[in-house]
Amino acid sequence: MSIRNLRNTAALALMLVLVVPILAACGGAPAAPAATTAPAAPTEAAAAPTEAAAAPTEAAAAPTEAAAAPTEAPATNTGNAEPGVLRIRMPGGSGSEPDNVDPQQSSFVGEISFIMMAYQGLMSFDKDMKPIPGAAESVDVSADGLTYTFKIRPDSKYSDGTPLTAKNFEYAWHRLANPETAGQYQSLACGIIKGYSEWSAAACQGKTMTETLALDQTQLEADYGVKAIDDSTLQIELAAPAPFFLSMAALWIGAPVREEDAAKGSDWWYDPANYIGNGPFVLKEWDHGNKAVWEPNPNYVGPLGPVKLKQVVYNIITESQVAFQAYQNGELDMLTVASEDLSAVQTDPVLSKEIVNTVGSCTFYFGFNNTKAPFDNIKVRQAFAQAFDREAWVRDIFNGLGNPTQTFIPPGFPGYEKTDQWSFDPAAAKATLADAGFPDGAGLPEIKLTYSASARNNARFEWVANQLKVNLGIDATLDPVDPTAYSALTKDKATSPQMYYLGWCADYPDPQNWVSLWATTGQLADRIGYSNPDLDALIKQADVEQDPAKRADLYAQAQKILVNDVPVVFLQNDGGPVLVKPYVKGVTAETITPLDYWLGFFNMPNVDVQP
Amino acid sequence: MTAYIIRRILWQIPVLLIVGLMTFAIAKITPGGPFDTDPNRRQLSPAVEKILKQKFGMDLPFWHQFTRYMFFDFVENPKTGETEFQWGALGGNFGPTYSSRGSRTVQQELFGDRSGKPSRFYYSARLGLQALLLAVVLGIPMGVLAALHQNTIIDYVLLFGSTFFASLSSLIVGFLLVIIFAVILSWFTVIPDWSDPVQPWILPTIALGSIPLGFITRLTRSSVLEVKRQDYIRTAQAKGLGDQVVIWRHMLKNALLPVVTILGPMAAGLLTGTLYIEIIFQVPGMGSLLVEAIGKRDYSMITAGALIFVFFLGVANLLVDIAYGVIDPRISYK
Repeated sequence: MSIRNLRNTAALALMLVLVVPILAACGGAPAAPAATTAPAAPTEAAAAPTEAAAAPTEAAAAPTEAAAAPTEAPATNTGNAEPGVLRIRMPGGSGSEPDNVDPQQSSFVGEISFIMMAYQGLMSFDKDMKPIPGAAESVDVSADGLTYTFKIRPDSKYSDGTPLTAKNFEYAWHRLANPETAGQYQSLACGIIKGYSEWSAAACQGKTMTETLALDQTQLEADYGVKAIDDSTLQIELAAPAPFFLSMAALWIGAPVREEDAAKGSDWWYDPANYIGNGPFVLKEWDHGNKAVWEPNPNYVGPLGPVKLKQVVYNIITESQVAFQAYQNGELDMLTVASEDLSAVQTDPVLSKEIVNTVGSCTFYFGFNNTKAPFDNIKVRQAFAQAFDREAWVRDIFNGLGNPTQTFIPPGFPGYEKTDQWSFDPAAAKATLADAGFPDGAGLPEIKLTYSASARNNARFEWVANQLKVNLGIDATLDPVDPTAYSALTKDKATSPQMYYLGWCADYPDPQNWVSLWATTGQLADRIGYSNPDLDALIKQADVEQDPAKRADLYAQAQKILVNDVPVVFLQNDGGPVLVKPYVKGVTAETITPLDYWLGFFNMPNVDVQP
Repeated sequence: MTAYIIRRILWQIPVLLIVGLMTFAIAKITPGGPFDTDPNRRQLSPAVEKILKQKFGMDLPFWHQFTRYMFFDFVENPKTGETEFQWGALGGNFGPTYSSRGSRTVQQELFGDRSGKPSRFYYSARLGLQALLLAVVLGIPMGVLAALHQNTIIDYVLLFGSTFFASLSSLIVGFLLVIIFAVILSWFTVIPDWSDPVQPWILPTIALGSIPLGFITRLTRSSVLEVKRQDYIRTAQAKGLGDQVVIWRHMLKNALLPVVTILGPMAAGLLTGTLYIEIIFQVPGMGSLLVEAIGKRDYSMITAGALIFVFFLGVANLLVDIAYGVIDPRISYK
């Protein structure tokens, strides 16, 4: 492997040597100084005259723009764009193909954004990330908060014209709980829906599959709280009040997969002919490893329509440099900017105008193992929180991709509470550390900074170690670990490294999906051995509180404790610039939400392409 | 000869077993597992992880996991409680892929059709064959030409060209081709349209073939140069044979032996997919799938990748050895 890496590095270096002169030569630039800074511009300009000649009407129609930029009006490359056709890279970060798009089995962003094109849950989300009726027309919640009655929209149909009834949702929610499904998100609804934990005994109670299936399945299914009363009414009974359940009902896990499709085998979803849903789009073609082609679902009813687009193409491009070339060549209409390309984008006269800033749904942090010295000492953790320059971290290390934060819930999400309790203050940090009994770091055990090894991360964590040296006088050792091994380490407090870097991304927009993770048995607190009884009490109360105002207040109080305890140091939220061609309408910072797994997704009715 | 071929084929079996065992063991020993992928998302609850580990047999002792993968096993169906016989890799069953949560098998992913479209293996193999053909068809004549015109301008140009390509990486050639022919000249698109039977294949074939082309040209040149000075060539020329006969019948036959030797491993490498070219030109082939599997700790796919590569290597080497006998009658096998 190391030889391959070496070859990689050598290859990149050589490529730079080779490519730069070629580009410069193509520019044929006698104006040497400008050519080095923006090598892409001359070629672009060379291509532009023909285009301008071909579209004289457009130039005439926009005289003001031409006047505003009299020197040179660099035009975007529209390539082979067609009206109504949106071409993007496969969502999900790496641009690779989703491994499984069975709604009751999937768990990753790329898979979810694929599923949610074809399916719609009972609920959906609006622009403020409040749950609104999706496939359901209305929902009625009983006074005790235990019974949810969904009315399915009349005349609901699947994309192939067959009727969609409450029975289909009943099947899907039963499929989710059925222990044989063994989906990766099966544990999400444990203890929430009546009878769920009992039926899903393997996922919720830790029984083995053989033990679980030996139980009386028929009886357990009959006792399970999801029932279709008639074709248009679905009733869901909960085990305990869960005000966030409406958000959960909007998730992919409740997508109405049809029994006859799922019966075609464990990989039924692989063939587009079986991938029949009620979402805004129909999967027309899935050329595995190459692309997926979507067309609007003529039978769609719900808040995400009517769709203006005629076609959406997901291209599978795993190499971000290739995707960047494709975007510049007019073969993609939108693209998330990789941090390596950001400075090139910002200085480019054309690309810099195509930036749309987005906010993300993830928060990243430095985790501490709260059970190991010195981070079992709250003062030490607080000192680390004060000693970190988050602004510089985001600006210099992430090239401005993302935003600094000092709390857990990202801005824009319900429950976000702005705080500046741990603003960067090296003097205060030193004082706090001295207060903890370690003046200038004297007497501290060795601090090991564990991270997922990559060239990018090596540079990042050297910077962090330097911060600790300069601001606290601590010599931290770097401890790079193979990415997958790293992820395994961070799962349990027994193996959790002393100090490491991690993030959390929203499943659904509710403070319960964030704050409650820090209860003693919560997913994140349990990994690092953090426990605060006061916080536990508040969370326990908030999770079942029916009054929205009271509930929000309880979560706010809980967050204060969380921020003050510094079980981890919150650093930044993701997000940042995305390139959007000017002819793509309806994708702006104002219209998209952090929950748009891919840009403009929940905002789909507004999106159009008019090259 | 037949006995020799059979013996060679039988020798493949222990080789495959050892490679399978080593790959399987290394993949398993490497820390982390298939359910540790994304630390930023909700982690699997320990209970769900336990179920999945049982489902994939990861709770079994190592030897049992290996024999199940490699040979066969009797697997208990948790629903019916009955045990069912199940073939392993030697029976053509490489098992379910972990990343698809077990809903697809390795053989489906690599060799099965993709909803009516040709398999991933087809794309890798076709691309590899085309590249190999390009390298052989152009490389050998160019090498001969360079050798026959040693120290002339033809030789210098060919030598420079082949050295240049042989020392490049396919990553660079790939990117260069994209930038020149797709971005600057617009003869091709950056995103290929694989429904076209010809167009999308051109650039990746050139990119993949250019490096072996450089190697073959250089190798042919140097081995022709060596043969050219042999006594028997002088004898052939002295007895008045024409240039063409000397070159094709006497010189080339001997000069080709080293070239044929490297064709074996080269073919196996090209046929089983090449990572960079498949990624840059978005070829829906096997290479990218096999490499992604390493990051995902998709044990069944990783081991299958190694087994398939070794299998092709064995077949290619066998063909090379047979070709030796055809080219040089002095070589015989018993």
